[in-house]
Amino acid sequence: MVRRRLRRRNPWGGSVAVNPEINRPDVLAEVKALIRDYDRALIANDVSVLEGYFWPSAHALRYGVTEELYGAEAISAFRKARVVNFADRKTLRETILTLGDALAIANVEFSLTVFGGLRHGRQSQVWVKFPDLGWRIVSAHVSHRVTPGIAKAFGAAPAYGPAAAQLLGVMLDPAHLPGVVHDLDVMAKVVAPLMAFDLPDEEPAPVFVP
Amino acid sequence: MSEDLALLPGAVVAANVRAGRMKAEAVAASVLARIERLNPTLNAFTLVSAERALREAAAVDAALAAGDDPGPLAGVPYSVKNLFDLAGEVTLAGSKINRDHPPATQDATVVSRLAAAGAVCIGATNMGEYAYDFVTVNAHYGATRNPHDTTRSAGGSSGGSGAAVAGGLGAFSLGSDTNGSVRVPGSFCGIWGLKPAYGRLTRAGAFLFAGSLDTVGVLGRDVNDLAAAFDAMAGPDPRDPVCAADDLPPLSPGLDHGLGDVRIAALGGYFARGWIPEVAAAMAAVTEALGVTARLELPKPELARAAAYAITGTEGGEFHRARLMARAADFDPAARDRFIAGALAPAAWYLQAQRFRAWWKAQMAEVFAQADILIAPATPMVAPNIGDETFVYDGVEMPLRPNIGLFTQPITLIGLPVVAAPVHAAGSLPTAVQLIGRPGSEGLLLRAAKVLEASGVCAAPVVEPD
Repeated sequence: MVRRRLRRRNPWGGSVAVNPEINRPDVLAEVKALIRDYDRALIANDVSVLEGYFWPSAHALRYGVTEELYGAEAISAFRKARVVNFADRKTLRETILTLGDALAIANVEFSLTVFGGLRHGRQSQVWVKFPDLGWRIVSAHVSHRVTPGIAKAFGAAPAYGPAAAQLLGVMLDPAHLPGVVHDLDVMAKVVAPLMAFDLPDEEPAPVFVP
Repeated sequence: MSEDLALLPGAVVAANVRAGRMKAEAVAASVLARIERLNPTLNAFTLVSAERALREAAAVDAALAAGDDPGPLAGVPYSVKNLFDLAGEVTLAGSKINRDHPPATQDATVVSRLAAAGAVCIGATNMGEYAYDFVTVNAHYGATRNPHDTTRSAGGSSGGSGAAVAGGLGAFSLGSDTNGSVRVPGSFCGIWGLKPAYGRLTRAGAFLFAGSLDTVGVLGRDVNDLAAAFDAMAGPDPRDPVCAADDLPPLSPGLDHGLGDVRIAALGGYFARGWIPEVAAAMAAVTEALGVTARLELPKPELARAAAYAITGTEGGEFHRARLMARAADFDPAARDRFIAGALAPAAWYLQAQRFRAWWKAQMAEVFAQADILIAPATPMVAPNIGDETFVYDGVEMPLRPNIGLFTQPITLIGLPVVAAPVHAAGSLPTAVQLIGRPGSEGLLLRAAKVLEASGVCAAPVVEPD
């Protein structure tokens, strides 16, 4: 088998693979090992190790389920602040694509219990091998499957919660937001039949007297 | 140190101490020894106030020696949920944040009244953080374990009080009940619980949760002790703006008067669904012992529960808003998000709940025209395993914690008095039945409790944890 690698000098001086080799076994093995280690650190919520995987640049980017983070500093601040329990996170399907020897796209489907409910998550990462830093994540995106049932279940709470918090001056930690939205939604459901109940003419704002 | 004295009913301790047959100090030492041995297993206490207990006991013995009356609760050992102020101690209310508060400068009014009656305070008990809880699995102070089965919850939020009383660590314990926090530990730990009517016992010096629902209550192994503790604590208090201005006659003297022509009805509908065998057996035993045949349905109990839910979340969230803004990360995660959600709840929910509350109070007055005491289960399940997230109710798997108060929460809405009466069936975990009355009927409820206690159907034996 002949390895064909076509390269040409680009105008900025670096090299770009124009017809890169797909999933070269040694590169694939290298990236797979990295992703395994990353997963271990994620489940342990080992923030200092996790930070080491991200490109320390203002161009690094991470979209989470509840947050949009621009730059390594924002990513790091978010990770340090959040309280998570990823203990039961399980990889369901992993797809790794390497293009040449310095670019990899890792896509993972995973399951995770959040607030007692099982989530089906998706994680996409773009890895680049820098000559001075080695492999780093330059961009990542995490989401979870929102079934029509769940989307309906959460109703207006995802929009209302943060807006009400802002109006009231309560700073909501992004890590707390899903729980707050969930609890607001539970409250909305509990209260719904009460709101629909047609009370006879009552004092509009009664004070309870036992 | 013998623990025999620790296991005596409070009334027996008081009678013996007052007669000079027993030293209060010996009783206190006996209870402290038992706490030292069992608390590492149960995690019922967050503070053992040994010095205070021995000092108060010595004062009782000295008063008696000097010919003074040491009080009706002379030498009776008791604990308090750690949301009650004890002079010189920091009032935790189950939280990490309150550790930064200065120590209380004086006792809560109910504690100072118990002290004046000769009772001996042995410590403060674990609870769910800021009382927003039914299981006492506390992120800062650990889970309290049920003496009947230490892998199970003692209930909450007064779980430390429940485990202490069931485990023989004090004759009674003060708890608080907003949506069921006395009745639930009463049920899971198989002990008596008295949740008086709203405003009946002063809350001054208690760290509140949802102010328009909060009541001070008592957990005990003996109906006499509930009545004696209530009598010592009752009465107006200018330090609590919602405390009743009138004084009820003491409950203890009429305890043995029986029930005469008192009308008792079991609640149907909402309260008769989803019974597990333990609950069905307890309801059958209690209704039979009291000769109950009447059955009543409350109007819209599910909406009463919804209203209590909304009022609790909103009042609790708003009460903690400043703490949530400054120190959200220091809250127990199990309570934090619910408090924040409550702080953000729309005013319309709260006001509709308040309107419903006024309507329901009028409806319930009509119910009480037909019966004097209503009977219903206290909890839809027996003590769950610590860490359980769900339970099966009426064939459907449901989240556990939000539904433990299914039967207690509606009753709370208009502050009715309730006695939780414990039933122990052989070979199964205990559960409790609620005896619900109109405001001011605490004495009547305790008379019914006394009938059940005398019949042997209800009892709260000391349990030796495994």
